[in-house]
Amino acid sequence: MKPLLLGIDGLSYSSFMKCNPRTLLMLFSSTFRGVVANKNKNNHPTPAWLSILEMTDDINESGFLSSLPDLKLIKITKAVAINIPITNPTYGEVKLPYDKTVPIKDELNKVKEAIFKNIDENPVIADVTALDRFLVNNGSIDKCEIYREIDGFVKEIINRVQDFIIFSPYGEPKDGKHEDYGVYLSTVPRPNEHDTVKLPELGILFSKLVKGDVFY
Amino acid sequence: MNEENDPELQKLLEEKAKKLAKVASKKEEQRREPVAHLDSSNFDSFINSHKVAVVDFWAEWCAPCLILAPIIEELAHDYPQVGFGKINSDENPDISARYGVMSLPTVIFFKNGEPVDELLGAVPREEIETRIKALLGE
Repeated sequence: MKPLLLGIDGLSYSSFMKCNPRTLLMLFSSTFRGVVANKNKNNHPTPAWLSILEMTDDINESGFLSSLPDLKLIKITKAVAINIPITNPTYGEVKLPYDKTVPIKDELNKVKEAIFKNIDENPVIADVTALDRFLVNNGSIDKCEIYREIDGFVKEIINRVQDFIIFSPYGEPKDGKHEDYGVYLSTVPRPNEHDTVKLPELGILFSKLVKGDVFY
Repeated sequence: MNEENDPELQKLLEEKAKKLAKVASKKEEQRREPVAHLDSSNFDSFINSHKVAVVDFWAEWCAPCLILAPIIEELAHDYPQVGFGKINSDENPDISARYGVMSLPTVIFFKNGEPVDELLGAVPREEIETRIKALLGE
């Protein structure tokens, strides 16, 4: 069993009390938790994800890429990429159009199947874009229904995967961008828990987890 | 001299217009940001200018603080007669030390500028609301 880096774009602590996602709340009280701070790459998923995959803060791209650079984290960890929103359609073993055409359940099923198919042999870096895709420019949608779907998905994932980092690169859509703070729930402790998690740090922590070089 | 050419009157009117604009912008700010952002420079005046004030001590790295924040905002909308503020404990350790804040989030309730009650952790809305109602005498 190899480690999993799972992004859930737009997942926010600010909705935990309202939507009461049981599995995520269980993880909140039983795993290492933190706050992902992202104040300048929260307009679009691509710069945030590139910062993680390149393990640097120095990212100039602002939208989907047309050609891919060498993704340092994938190169180092030899991880399988699944549904990463740095291109449109998304990049990796699951490629989905980044719009509202793919229903939430379909995305979750495809991502879950691809994770389960690979996780025994390879580290996996996967993302769920549903929450972000459906919340952007849509005030009428039932947010807690999406949280319920995602919570069920997370439950199935953590029942199967031993080592994981579940995170969001930013919070929910707000005022044309996203909240500055995302979620970090993980089996991996961090050296300084009284500090926010930075985007490049997510890549560094995952590469350490893959190498078995983790600070416990 | 007619009113239009009276420089003294013009000055008074301009000052009045400025004051009205300031009040309007403060009201608009309160509508958009119902929870005041506090620091060492405005903390005392804030708690002393509200009969009942509720202050949320938080920090960026504190996940339960982010869970609690929308509840405080919701209550601030529902209880406009109460002053709601939030203060970053890491950036204002003097204020945190003054009230013995040891864990985050901590919500302190003030009446006439004096701390009268507190809650620790990300508690449900009802826990906070019960205390607010008691302080308001409801």
